[in-house]
Amino acid sequence: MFRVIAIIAIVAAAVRAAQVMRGSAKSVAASPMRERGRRWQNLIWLVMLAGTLVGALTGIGSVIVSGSPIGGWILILHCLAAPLFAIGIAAIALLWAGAYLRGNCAAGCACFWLMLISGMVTIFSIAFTMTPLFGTANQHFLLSVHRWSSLALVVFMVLHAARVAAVSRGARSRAGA
Amino acid sequence: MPPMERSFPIWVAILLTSSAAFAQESEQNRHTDSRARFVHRINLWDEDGRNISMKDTEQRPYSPTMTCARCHPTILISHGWHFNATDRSAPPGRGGEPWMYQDATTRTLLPISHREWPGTWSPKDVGLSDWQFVLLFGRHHPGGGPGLHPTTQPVDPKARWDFSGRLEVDCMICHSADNSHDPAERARQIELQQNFKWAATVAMGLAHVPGSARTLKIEPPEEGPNEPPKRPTLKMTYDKTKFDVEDKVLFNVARKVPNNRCYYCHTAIEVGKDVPPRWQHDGDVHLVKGMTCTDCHREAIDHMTTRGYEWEHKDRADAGLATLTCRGCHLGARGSGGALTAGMGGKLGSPRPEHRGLPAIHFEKLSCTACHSGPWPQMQPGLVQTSMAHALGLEKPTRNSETVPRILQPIFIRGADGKIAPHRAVWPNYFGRMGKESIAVIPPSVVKEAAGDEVLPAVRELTADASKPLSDEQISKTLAALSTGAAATQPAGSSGQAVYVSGGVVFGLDKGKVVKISSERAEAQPYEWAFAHDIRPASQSLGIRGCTDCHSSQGAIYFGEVTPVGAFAAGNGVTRTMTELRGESTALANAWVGSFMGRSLFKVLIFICGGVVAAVLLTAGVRGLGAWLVRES
Repeated sequence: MFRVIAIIAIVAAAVRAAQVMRGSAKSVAASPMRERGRRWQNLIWLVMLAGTLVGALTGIGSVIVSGSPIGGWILILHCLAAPLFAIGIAAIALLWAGAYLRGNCAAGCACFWLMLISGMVTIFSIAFTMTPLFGTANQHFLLSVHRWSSLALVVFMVLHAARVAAVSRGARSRAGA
Repeated sequence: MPPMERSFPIWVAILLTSSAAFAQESEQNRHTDSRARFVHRINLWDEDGRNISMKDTEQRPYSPTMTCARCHPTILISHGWHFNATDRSAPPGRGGEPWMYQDATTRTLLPISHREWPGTWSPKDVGLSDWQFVLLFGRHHPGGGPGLHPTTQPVDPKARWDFSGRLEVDCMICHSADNSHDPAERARQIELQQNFKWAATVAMGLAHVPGSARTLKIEPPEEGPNEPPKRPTLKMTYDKTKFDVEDKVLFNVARKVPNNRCYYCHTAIEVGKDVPPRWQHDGDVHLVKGMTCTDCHREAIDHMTTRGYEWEHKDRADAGLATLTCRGCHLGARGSGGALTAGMGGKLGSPRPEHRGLPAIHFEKLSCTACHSGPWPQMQPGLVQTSMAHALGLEKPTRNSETVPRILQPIFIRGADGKIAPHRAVWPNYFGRMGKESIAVIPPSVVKEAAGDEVLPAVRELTADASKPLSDEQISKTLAALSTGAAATQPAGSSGQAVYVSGGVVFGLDKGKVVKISSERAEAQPYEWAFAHDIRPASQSLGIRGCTDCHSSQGAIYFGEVTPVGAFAAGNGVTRTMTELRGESTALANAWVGSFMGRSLFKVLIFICGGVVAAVLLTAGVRGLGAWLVRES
């Protein structure tokens, strides 16, 4: 069930992202990046994307490929990627939320907020499994929540990243012109 | 060929395969259908189906099979789990505790089983006849199997079945409610007296049998040489106070077998210098709480005892068995059929485990027993002695903590379901002949004959000498003797270099010196079998002190060190960690240990990041709500 939905969702998100990337710069909203510290913002954004990519490949990817829960080195890698993603998304939330609250962002805005919501659920669902608060049944529930929320996170992050990339490309082409 | 003749073999095959079924169907199982225990005041019957009476001039031993068969399907029962090891059609199930074939003089130690569990030797492989098997292990064997239907291979000229009689399934060894059955006396009758046929009667205290079948011999006929030789039997005297006027005897039979009866054959005790004295052991938490062995290890009249491992319901194609596992009992087994409550867990009032803070992946990687069974794991596994291997339950003054076989526990390796579970392990020890593909065991009798008494002086089992390793000189001389002369051609059908297998290593002779040939040969590796008892309470389970019970450099489940134990003074095999035994990466295990050093910081960081995102979302939500309210107003 999860494997099928995950494959469909990721493929659909990738197709939509490709469409956004190929689309004209006019069709996308203004960049959420602050004027000051663009390089740092780019770096943080890339760190978050890298963390998410590794987390998705090791987590969702291994579930799709093997169908079994992750373990061994893959789980170690998954755990190593987690802080990159967590720090990245927290920093991006702090840096870009203002822009999205003020700006005229249309669909990009929804992607951003949904990315934050699913990211938060992803973080807390796994963080709580590491506390002595939840028993076996709830652990399984939290793991399930983590799995589905991370799938949602990947989808929204792909769509959001495509928009941000498209905006940046548009900005560069306008600056070049 | 006429049609009838052509079909004859088919008819024979059908008759043979269905004869057991017919026999079982024709058997009766009388029952009262009450939960109250039926009082068994019954007549006794001998092996020929004759009623035993106190008026008889010549007394005969009672036959459990014929006596119990008056009301119960004893043929069906004789195919139950405890008796069907020699039945080729019986599924072997998960590998269990083997019998330990020992020859102290040659220090031979081989885990053997008729069930051909991987890693064990078949008795026939080591030249052990059914007669020898019963003499060696009948002490803790409930009867039936090789004792009831002995095979003729391997040929054993010393077999004396005609005098000893058969070792029938002794129902009362388990079902005696009041300990009126004495299994130690039964063992004495079997291994010392060869009184197989009389063992059940004497064990019940029903009769006195002063003689021994081992001294019986065929006597010439008194009437003359034309008469058939007289086959003598033992004289016996029934205790007439046990019989009423109708020759009935009170058998205090427990349908539900008391723990005490199980423990005669299934005791396991830790031994060693650091082991607390027995009075300090708490025992299995389930039994302490008032349960019995048979609450979980149940069986129907077919006596196919539930063993309780997680995939037994698949092995036996009986979904209901899933409820009789740790998981099934405590958590429930959905889809197991039967009662609706089976899926609910909490069977027999068992607490539903919460496992708070234990990530769910542990349930995919570990069996329940990994954390809850056996002694608290140490960095070096301890020694354990068992009834079957060390004749516990029988008084053996020479038995001490060093007595072989040396069985180690707990060894954390993966079971057939891929989950890590505690196992017991024993390393084989034998002289063999190494071919290209396998190492054939040289029977101890051949080894002794080749080496002679001077090289290998006679040693008795369960003595201190049996625990002493062979010296380098003894091994080299024995290997040299096995490489020359008549011994070099034995065992029949095998050839190759004479080797000595001990402690996980194959040793050979090179220029008169004992040298190590390999420590990787499968024939030298330990036989391991999973165990579950004693079970520790939740408050004493692994992980109760935190993740570092396992995920630390002192986590025995990863870094416990296992050194093979053999009987060779020159040394044992390679010491390996549990991780290495499982064929896993030590680097990965170390990586986990490293990751747990910064785990607290990791948790704090993750919560802070999640909190920041939550705060941003909350702020945005409040602002968005405020803006919406302003617009609406």
